Amino acid sequence: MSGRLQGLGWGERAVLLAALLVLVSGGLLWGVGSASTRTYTQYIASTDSLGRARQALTEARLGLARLSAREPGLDRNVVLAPLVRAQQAARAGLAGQSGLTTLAASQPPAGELAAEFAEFIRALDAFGLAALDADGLGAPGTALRLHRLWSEAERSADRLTERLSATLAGDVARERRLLALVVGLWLLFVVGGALLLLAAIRKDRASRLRLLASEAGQQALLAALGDGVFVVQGGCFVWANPALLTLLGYAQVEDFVGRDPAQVIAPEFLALWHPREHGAEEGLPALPGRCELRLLRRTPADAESGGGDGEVWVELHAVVAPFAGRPALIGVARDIGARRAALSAALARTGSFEPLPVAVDADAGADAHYLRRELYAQVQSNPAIFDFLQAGSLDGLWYWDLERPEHEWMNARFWRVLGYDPATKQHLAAEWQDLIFPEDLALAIDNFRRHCADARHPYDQIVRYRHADGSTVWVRCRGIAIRDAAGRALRMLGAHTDVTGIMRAEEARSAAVALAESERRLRELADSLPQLVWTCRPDGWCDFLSRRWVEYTGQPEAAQLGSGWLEHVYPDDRERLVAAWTAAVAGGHDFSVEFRIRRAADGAWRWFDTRALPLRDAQGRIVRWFGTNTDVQAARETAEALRASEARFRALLDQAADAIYVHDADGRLCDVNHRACETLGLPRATLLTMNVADVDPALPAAGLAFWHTLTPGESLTLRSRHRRGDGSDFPVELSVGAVEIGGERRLLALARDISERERAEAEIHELNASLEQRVAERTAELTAANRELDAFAYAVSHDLRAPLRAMSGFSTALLEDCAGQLDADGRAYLDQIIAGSRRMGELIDGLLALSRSTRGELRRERVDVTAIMARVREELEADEPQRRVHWQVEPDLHVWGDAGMLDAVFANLAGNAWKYTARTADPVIRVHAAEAATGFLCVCVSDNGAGFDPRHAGKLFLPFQRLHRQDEFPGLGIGLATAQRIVHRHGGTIAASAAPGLGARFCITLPGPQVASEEPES
Amino acid sequence: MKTLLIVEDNPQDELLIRRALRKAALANPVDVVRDGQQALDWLWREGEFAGYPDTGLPAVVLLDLSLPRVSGLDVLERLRADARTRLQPIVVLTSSDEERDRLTSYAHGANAFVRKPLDFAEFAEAVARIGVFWLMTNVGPA
Repeated sequence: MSGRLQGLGWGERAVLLAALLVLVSGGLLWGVGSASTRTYTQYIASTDSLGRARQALTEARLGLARLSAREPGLDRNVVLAPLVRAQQAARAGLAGQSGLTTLAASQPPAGELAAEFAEFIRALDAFGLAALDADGLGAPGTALRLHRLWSEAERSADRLTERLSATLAGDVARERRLLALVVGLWLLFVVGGALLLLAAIRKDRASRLRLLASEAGQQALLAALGDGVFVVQGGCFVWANPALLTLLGYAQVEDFVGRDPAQVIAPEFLALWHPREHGAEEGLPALPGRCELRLLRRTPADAESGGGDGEVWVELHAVVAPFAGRPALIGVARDIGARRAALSAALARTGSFEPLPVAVDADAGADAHYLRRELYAQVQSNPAIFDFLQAGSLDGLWYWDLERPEHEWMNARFWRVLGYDPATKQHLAAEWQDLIFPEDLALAIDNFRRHCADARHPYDQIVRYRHADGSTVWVRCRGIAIRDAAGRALRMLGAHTDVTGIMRAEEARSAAVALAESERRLRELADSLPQLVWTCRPDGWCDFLSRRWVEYTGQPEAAQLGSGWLEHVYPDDRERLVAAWTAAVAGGHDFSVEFRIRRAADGAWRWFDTRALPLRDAQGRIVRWFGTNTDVQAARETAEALRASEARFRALLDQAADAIYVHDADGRLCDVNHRACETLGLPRATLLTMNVADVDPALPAAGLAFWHTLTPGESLTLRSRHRRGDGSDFPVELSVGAVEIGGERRLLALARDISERERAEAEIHELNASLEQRVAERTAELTAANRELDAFAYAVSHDLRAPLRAMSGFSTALLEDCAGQLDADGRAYLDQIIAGSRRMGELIDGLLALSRSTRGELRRERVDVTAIMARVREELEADEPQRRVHWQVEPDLHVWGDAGMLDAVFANLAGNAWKYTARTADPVIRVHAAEAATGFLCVCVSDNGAGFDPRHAGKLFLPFQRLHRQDEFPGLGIGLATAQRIVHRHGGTIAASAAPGLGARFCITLPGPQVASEEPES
Repeated sequence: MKTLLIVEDNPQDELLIRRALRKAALANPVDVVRDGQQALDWLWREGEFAGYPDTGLPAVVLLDLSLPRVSGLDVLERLRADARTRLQPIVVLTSSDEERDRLTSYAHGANAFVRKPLDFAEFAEAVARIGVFWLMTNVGPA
């Protein structure tokens, strides 16, 4: 043995030692284990027996209770039968207990348990005997005794159970300690052996390799392996171990050797098997290091017929190694059928799922490159390759469970591209749906639905995600649905490609193109605008001036770029402009300044409204300033004119002596002048908050009716009363007109304080009243005087005439009755008395006529002058028939007036003419019409008689004034005065013209019928 | 013989009327009263003339208008208002030249209106004609 050992290497010795140790410790362990197992078996049996006994005891007790309740159809067997079973079980337990052995010295004597069992059996016996002896189990006394006995049996059983449990627990604890000790020793031995073995391997690697290399050793080893092993040389299988033969259903190795791979490997995996085209070892398969594939399982008969009884999934590890002196491919195949079955079963729970088939093109075209095939195989078999692919070539990978759509697996890169720590993210679809742009999510969902419905529709779109830092991440997201046999999409596999850079570049390029385009358009636009247009760089440097600017300033653009344009700005405006521009550029805010620019054409400085806006890019940076200058010279002049006009208007308004109010339709005061404030004693600001009704309380009653009726330019005047701030009021005369102010209809009212005028008017009114009173009084006085005059005239006509009549009457009586008693002188004297009294009577009649001419009613009627003349002529000729006078009276002469009075007038004139032609040789009296003013009639009476001196014409119409001596032409001197009064009373005139010795002419002009009827008596 | 009543306050005119009547050879008795009241009393036999012999109403009354106490026009009006003298012939004989007096006299029922002419001859002539007409020619109501 030792010699034999000495022949062994260090390693072999160590292995042998280790094996020995393992054997020794294993035997020890077995010994302990078997002893322990026996002990447990006994305990279990005892416990079981006790349990059965107790159950039976309980049944007995129940039976006793049923008997006590006198349940019909029962006898004492219902108690005794279970009791007998209980005794049997207890005795079985006691029998088992008596054989109980123990390993530990501290084990309580087995007799104790046996004694307890014996005690229990005794209790049962007592109970059973009592039950047998009892005549009537239902009798109270018996029942009580039985119950007591049963209780004792129960207590005994309890104690036994406790004891049994305690004993078992103690045993278990002890055995566990022992077992741990043994296992520890065994492990120590095993580890020690392994260490020895390892040390031996390390110490003597060459010898081990020699061992492995030896064909016999090698074959022995391979044959001993549990996994199937095969060897391929020269394109066919040359060897297989028993495990492989078993796996594939071959009875003997000879059946397998020499077979073509096509007979062993499933057709879809044959692509993996093709011999290398450029390999170091000709004829060896190009199998990867590790892969999963299916092998065909065959019997020898099947192999001949081409049939088979199935396939088996294996995990294949292949190495190239020398075998029997030549290079060979040695494959180790492990059956993974169970594992895959489990996976399929698991998947089947969620649907009939088949793993994605490895895509292998049937035709060996361009895609049939060996590297492609190799890669596919690698991917399929080597998780590291897939890991590399998913981590290295993609910007995110996701795998989505469409049946439970909340679940989605995303790889780490998925999140890193979006700027998130994968550890913080759960594998839930909701995680990314919060980050994608909503509109892009809609697109993705739309594509997803189409793709699910029709696999030909690609799930491929560029979407945007919000990066953790807020920026946008552009991702090309592609996916493919994985479907079941029915074509139902169950999973979705997707890949992300970060295209942010490309998109940014594209955006930048588009922006550049757009910028160029916008630049071109800007210039076109700038040149088409009526304004002067310019642009500046963000720093305020002018880089463009429109054609109009150049034309306006008359200097080429190049000379003005930068800040050259400033030369054309009015010097006084420059400082202000530059300050504003600098501030705008610095602050990046809108710019608006008005300044003057010189026009080259005429050298005029014109005002421009200059505005500029900063143009910003997407990031908000100013890229350019865009500015315009609008010529506001005309507007400024207009505004200036307007201001001046406004000022004039205001001055006019405030200088006006009258208060001026402007109000709107509702009476709200819009404007008032200084005078208005003054008269009302209120400040302008207060007035402008008031209504016209506050100033003119009477106005609302009128309802501002004229608001609607007044047209612009029209005005109306009315009187009202205005109320001052202190509540007092005063009369005003209002002149109200409608005006348009700023396109709004307004009423403008001029109010003039007419307190003074009203006072004056009141005075005048009072004065008039007193005057009328005086006139009335005076009229009354005059009326009274007239009445007195009437009475006087009446009295004169009666009372003055009576004495005259007496004087002339008695004188006549004296002459007639006593003529004989008087001498010639006496008679002559009496004649003088009679003549005197006659003349006196004539004077009285004249006075009465004069008096009557101004009294009495004046009638208006047509008066025929021709007829009057004819009558007067007859009377005169009758009085003095000896006279021959030539009358020339026009026919149809007439005037309008009081017939009686005018008769007297014309009779008087005709009488005068008759009288004053008495001494004329060929007297002629003419009565004729003459020219008169419109509406008047003129009749003249002229003669060729004595006439009169025109110097005395003024005295003609005075009463009792005569221009001739009484002895020449007798008369009273009262006729023309009466005539003039009558003519005047008619509203007419009487005129006389004459020369001494050449006759006289009297013309009477009287109103015609129209005028006469309108002319009041004056 | 019918009486003739003169109502005249002026004795000179009364004398001149009497003389003119005499010159016209009218022998009828003439009575004279000086004012309107006497005229009424005389005609109605009232007042101072209550006991005066009833000679009947006169053939004509020559009535002056300007009379003391009751004026001629009032006398005229009252006589016409009284049944006894409603039909009495009355001639107004006055020196008034007023139209108003003339019209009023007629309105009050005067039978004639005669203005006393200033000239005595004409006056005597007029009175003579009145006397002849009313005393001789005219047939009175009574």
